[in-house]
Amino acid sequence: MSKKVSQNQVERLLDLVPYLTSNQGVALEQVASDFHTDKSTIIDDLNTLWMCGLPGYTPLELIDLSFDTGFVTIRNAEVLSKPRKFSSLELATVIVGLHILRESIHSENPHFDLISTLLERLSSSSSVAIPQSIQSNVNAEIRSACARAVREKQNLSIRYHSYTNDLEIEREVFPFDLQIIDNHEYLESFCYQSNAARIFRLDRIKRAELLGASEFVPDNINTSESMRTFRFIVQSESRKVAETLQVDVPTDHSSRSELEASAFNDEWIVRSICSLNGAATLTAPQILRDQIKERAEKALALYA
Amino acid sequence: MSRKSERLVNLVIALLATRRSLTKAEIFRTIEGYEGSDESMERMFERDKDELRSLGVAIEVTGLDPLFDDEQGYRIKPENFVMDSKGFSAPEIAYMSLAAQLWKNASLSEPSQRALRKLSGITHSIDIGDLPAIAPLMLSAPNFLNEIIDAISERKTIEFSYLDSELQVNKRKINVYTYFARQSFWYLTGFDVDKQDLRTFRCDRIVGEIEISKKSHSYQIPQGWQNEKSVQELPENSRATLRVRIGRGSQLRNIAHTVEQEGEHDLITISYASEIDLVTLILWHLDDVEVLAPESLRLKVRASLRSLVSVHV
Repeated sequence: MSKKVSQNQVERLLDLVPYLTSNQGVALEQVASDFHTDKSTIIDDLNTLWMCGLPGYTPLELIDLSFDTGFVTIRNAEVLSKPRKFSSLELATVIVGLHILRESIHSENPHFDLISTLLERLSSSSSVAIPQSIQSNVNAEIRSACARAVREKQNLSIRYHSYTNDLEIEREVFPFDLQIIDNHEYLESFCYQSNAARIFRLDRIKRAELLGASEFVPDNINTSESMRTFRFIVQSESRKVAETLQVDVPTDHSSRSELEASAFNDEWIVRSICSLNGAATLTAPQILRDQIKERAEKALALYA
Repeated sequence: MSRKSERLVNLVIALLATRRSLTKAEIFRTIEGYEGSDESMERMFERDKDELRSLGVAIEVTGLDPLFDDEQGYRIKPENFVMDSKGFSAPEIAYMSLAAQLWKNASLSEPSQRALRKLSGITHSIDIGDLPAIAPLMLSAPNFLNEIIDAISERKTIEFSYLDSELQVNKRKINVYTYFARQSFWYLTGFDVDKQDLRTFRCDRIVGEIEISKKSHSYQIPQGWQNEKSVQELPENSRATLRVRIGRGSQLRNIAHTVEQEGEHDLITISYASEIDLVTLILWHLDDVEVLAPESLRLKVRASLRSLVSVHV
């Protein structure tokens, strides 16, 4: 995924001078890594820079570089020694990044106001398109409690909304790590009630309380859950079906052919098909078809 | 390659250091690397100027002598070249660096790494400590986010293929006004040139690349466009009363205005904008939720349940 930083030598040379000026004595390897290139490219750059300077181009005017020890020092480069202005796209990455950063911390965090002030100043001094709003679905306080528990190896007491079973449960967990899976944030943990590894989605944690350092540090056990395969037919609104069931629906589904998918949880399959309101019909397994029928009948009885 | 780089860097240094503008003749005479006939030096200089401009280096052209307007001078004003780094405190530099760093391996990786490089040229760097090291919103950002930002900043019309509700691909032509992130999705809003109306698009439903027209300033963003009716979120002016089993329906309780206990159930009221979305949410809860009012919603849910039963018999 990582894109290569564009390798325009002039641009790199212009950025190298201020970088070297404020990092005197930096190792060649470090320069190469900071500029996302290899050591020989940097040496080539330095050899080029060496020939640059003010008109006249005597040793008095030329940039003075020393790097034969493997560490770089620079002198006589005052004209270029200050960092260049951001391009508008570079400024945009900083501004959008700051918005996201601010959204991920709690508004009482002392960094919050400092970042807001900085954002205001950056945005007002440029015409770059800034985002209208950035909203995360995770409560910043919950996130920071979980992060702290992971860092300090503390047990956590959480109130969790189990989405599939539509139940709020209390759990005591030992946290392993925070993870991002399919754009959602998760807490990987050992759950004392289940005596097994469990994963919790951060936006469904309603309350998180630190319980102090854990005496018992469980191993990170990988439990493999079994998957249930199911089959269905798309009747309409194929985009909604694809997004709800998290499957690829071929665009020529008009043939009403049967499609197959799998999920960890029967309850999730039943509820998802019901919530699709006829856009998809479950065809197999029969046991889940029966469940849908029985439970829809039970709900229907409320309206009798 | 490096001879040319050398010449360009020398040109930048000379134009930055000079207190008055330099004429072409002075440039060709004093700056190392300009060689050959007058014509070829002219061509070289034009290409050099273009290349530096493309790197964001603004060369200012001025008339030197009011009596002879053909004699032009060139210089780079330091205030147009150098970042106003004194204006930033040490924590601010650190925030900006972290903000740029967070894009690593995400959509804006390339320009953010360049920004980071520039920030590393400012002396002071401090540890700001307890801030997140991962940002899921960045991971979900579309890989064409830089193009959206460029299109809005430069007022360039864009075209893309969009999946409709039946997964059919439609070509859309949009004058983009803004972009935003909500939950874990990114959106763009703009004026749909063919439909002559404002529309919002979810970025992950865009197929393939975005095409940006070359022409900039091809539209204006009207002031106060956010107030237009078609952009506002649908007003949540419909009210529903639901009977929800105690301990269940957390998603509905989250949006409830009032909750009133009634035996083994709670009566809750909620506001909603889209009936279709609410029916979806109610059906998810099966027999834990019953619609009491309005009657139209009650009938819709009942009909949906009937058809669910009939197709799964």
